[in-house]
Amino acid sequence: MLDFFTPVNESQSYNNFSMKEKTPVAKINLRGNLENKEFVSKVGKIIGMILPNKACNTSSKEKITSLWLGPNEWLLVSNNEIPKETNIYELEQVLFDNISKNNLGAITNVTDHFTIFKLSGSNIFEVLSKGCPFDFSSDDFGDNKVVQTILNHVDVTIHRRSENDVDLYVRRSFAGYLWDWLKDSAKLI
Amino acid sequence: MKDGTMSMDVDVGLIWLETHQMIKFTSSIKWEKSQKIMSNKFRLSSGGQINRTERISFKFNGKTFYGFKGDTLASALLANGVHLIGRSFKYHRPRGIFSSGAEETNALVQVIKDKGKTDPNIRATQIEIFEGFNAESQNCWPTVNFDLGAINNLFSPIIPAGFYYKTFMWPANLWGGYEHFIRKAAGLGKSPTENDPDIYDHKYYHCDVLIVGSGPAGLSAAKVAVKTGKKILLVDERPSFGGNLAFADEELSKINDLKPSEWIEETCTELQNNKNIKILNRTSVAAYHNYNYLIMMQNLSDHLSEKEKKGKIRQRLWKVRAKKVILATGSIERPMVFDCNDRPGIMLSSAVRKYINYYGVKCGNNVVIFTSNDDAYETAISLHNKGVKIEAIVDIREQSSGDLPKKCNELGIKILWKNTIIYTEGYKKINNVHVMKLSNNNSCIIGNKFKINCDLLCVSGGYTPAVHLFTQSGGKLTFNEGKYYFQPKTTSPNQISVGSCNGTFGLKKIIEETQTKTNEFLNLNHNDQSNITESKSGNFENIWLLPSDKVSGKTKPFVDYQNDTTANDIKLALREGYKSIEHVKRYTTTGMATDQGKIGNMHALGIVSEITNTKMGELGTTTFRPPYTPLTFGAVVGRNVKQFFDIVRKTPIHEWHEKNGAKFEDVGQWKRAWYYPNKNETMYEAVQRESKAARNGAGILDASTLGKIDIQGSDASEFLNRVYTNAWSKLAIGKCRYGLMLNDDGMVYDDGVTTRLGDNHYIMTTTTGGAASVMSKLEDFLQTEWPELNVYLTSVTDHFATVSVCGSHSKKILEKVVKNINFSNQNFPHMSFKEGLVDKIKCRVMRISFTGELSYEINVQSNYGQVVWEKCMEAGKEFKITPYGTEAMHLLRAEKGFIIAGQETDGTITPVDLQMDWIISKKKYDFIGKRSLYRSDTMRENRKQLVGLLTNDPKEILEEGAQIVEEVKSKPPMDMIGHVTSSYYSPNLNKSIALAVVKNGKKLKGKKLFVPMSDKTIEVTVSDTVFLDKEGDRLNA
Repeated sequence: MLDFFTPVNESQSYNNFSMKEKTPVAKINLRGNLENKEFVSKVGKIIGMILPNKACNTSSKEKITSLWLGPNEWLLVSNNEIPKETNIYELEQVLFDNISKNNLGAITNVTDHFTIFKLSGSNIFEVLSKGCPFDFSSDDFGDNKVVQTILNHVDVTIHRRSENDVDLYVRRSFAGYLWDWLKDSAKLI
Repeated sequence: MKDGTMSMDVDVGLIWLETHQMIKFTSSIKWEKSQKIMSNKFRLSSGGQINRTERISFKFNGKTFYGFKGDTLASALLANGVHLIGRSFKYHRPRGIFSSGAEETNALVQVIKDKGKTDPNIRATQIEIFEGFNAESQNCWPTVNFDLGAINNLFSPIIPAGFYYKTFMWPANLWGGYEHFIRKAAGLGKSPTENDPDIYDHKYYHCDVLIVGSGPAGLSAAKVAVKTGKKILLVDERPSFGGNLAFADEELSKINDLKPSEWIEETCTELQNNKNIKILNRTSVAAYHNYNYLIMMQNLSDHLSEKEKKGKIRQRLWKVRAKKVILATGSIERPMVFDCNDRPGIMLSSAVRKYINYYGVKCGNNVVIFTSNDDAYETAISLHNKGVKIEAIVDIREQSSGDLPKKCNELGIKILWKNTIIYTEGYKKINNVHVMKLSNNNSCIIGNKFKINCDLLCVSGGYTPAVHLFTQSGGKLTFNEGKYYFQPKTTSPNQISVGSCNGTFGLKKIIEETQTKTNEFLNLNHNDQSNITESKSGNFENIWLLPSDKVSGKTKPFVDYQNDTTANDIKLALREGYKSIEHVKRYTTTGMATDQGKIGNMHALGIVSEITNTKMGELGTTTFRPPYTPLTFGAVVGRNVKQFFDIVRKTPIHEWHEKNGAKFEDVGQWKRAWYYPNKNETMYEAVQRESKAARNGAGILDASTLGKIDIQGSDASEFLNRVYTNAWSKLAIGKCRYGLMLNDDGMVYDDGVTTRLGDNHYIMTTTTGGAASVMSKLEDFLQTEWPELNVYLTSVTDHFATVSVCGSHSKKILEKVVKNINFSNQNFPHMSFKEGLVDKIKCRVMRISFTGELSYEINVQSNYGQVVWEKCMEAGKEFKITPYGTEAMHLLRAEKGFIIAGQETDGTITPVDLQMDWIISKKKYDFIGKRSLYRSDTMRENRKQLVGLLTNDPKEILEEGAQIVEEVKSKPPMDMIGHVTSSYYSPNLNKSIALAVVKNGKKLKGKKLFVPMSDKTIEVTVSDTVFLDKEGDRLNA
């Protein structure tokens, strides 16, 4: 088996705030037109759920969660960790053969493009508010909502599973910088 | 000038005083040090809201004093009888504490902290003292008591507004000499010399209603707003709440039978118990931007002792988005403008009231009050009731119908109706005022002059609504002709102004109006009936510039105290033709000091209006710009210092580079391995070694930073045809092609290799620095220009690590690492791609080259990047594989004449200029920038074109950026025909090589040109751009 290096590989705990890198999780970027019935039904059949069509919504099944990223873009994420010894994912293959190869949309593996910081504790949004202009207290941002925003100038995707459980997606090359910034901010809480 | 000479006499005495003290100077320092701690002789024995159980000792100008917890530096110094705080900016006149808050214009101090750490221009009226607090006077040398700069006061008649502009205009070449002295004399305070060790923080906050100010209006608004059950934020710049009501006379007004301070306490407790409201003190709104976006600075630990401060955040910058904003910013008292109205001991009447009622400090023992309104009478009553002698109240009005003057009469206080102060005496502290009767129309003085001795003069010229935030938000003002102030006119639907900042005065009116307006604003119906007792107020009269018994040249009626602008300077500006108030401001510098004209601006406007006979409303105001009070740089920057100064991006192989001693180069936000020096090796030596190894043995480069875009969709080929200059439709699956991307103007924008992975599937690479902008540009074209194309773009830059192995042995190395690919030239020729496996990990291998050498790139999922790199190192050991950095890579590609977008190109270079005509398809209908390539200018023959340059001395290396000439002259200017874009010593060719852009370069091959440097002229010969392996044998080996 090949050695495997994640960008952070660390976990930290502070005052009602803890963070750890969640890896490896399969991530597939999905593009397509919701008005194209063939696309919708094929995707629905393969992933076993209807893609969220409202801004910032998510839907989840046993194995996969789909995050709304745009009117024609979603991120499919495996709920569980995947094996490290191979990077051949069956779901990606099936989707690629059915969607990409039939020109119904685009399937792109972005597993290592992002890493996920799992944040927990009652101070999550207190920490995030130090660098993120998004209004987390808004009625529109409840549990199971997702938003793409910036955190201290870095593009991030924030998935609120519940009040004390948040997945923060960040591009791999920015991960170290953002991790250090989060540690620094958490210390000041 | 005649005026000037005469008024010098007045000031000669002052200079004599200064000189006299010079003799005593040395001994006085010793005397100051040996002096005992001074007593609080001006502190009342009881009363006020300071905490008398907590005594605090602090230093001012090296002397030790004590005050109490809750004191500001100003109140503590006044309690010790200290009025003289600093010197004015231009004339170095002695100045004292003038106000009690953010509007302070005189009492600016330098707060001294640990070594090298200091804060300049801190308002003594705002900074709270703590045990060990230390501050010094500013703008004086050697001491505030004896300041040599005061000589400027002597020359004041000949240095009016505009003096510097006029005098130092010519001769221009002497400016360097003037500048040295002017700069030394200019500026207030000293900058710290050490890095700021404090912690500053940022916070974004969203709320439904933001209330700015906690005076009677702000508190009343908050009481209503909490009823909405929504998220409310109440902020106040002061340490405690209540605004001006906090220091109102306790006996004169009542709310629901409560004294003002009791009502404030009750209201605050009620609010603090409500979980919907967040209340912040020591938080000043600095800026009010569009759409209710406000910037505020919260002071968290400036009031704490060094010990308590440790590890705490000093200041926090809040970035607030509020759905609705209620401004309750109150009003600022105005001074009176008359001759010598700036001496220490001349203070705003409301400030004196605050010092006596809130801090328990009397600012003097024999007081004269000078007023145009009833408010100052409240100060008189407060002082009188606390045993301070009121020598007289000088009132410019005929009489007043209000309750308070009547009460003063009953108390036996002398009121001089229809009188004015024309002059004051006392150098470092006022000691008397000169009074005369005003004529009926207030235009001149009549009767006999008489003196009143005093040690304190309270002035009150009425109140100006604090409309700073209102106008910052875009609100328009209207001038209230009867009341002589600007007040809000139109407001955006999500904002209201309440209380005195809206031009509403009187406690009852403020509270009732605030309740009604807030209910309306928030769609509520909650009216608390408040039972308010207050004194009836009389009329108000206004004179912008009071008449004097002297000709104006002999007077100093200050308008802007800090910048030493007098009414005479404003008159001068008008005489010299400045009509617009904005021009008058800039010429005289009135309103440009750190207080931004909070005290004096209205008078400046009023004087201009009177002299030009323009209505105030038509004259308008100068622009109120943020910040309301100065912000620290620390708060603006927050935590974005040191390691967080800029984003740092790292490749998946970064750790290996670090472990192996790489030096890094910043490319965009990336850290890229620059070179890997062996022990004692210089950069030059390392790069020479790396470049040689990469050609003759094996080299390995981390190319992970290149932008990568996954392109899919039935129109993917057509999309590439439109994006790049060359044709893509016929590229076979599994093949790679180099492309140039242009801007609309035909100039080279980006370049890179794109690989066809499937029928409708490509992977594009971009330059490292251009990745993000290329992606958004392409997405922009898809969404706005070509919506008909079925194409999807997905960035995969971070998904892949790219390991590039080059050199004659690279094939053998790849064979060992990726075992399931046949690397024969036949199966895997140059510019093609194969999928492979490293262990069980899928990867993409491209045979492409940026060095002109046999070369392969392995693209593998990032988490496996480092291990694939290490496997290549291991496999290459027998061939002495050498890691090389970006510098060697640049050298290698220059040997082949390959361009770098951004180095050979600078936004003015077309592909034709690069002699890359071959890459422009003549058959395609269109591509971005095509039309621009056929403009007369882009087709011009003598454009700068890319050429090679060889130095006549092969050891001589040209400097990048050096200018090229055809003909050398003895000195510049010479006709520059181009410049060097890349230059290296090539270890593989054993000579110096360079690329350059030169006018008409295409036709100059073989021609001798010159590169003049500061110490010599280098002779060069124009050559081909490809220096090595023109036939490309190495690539195809």
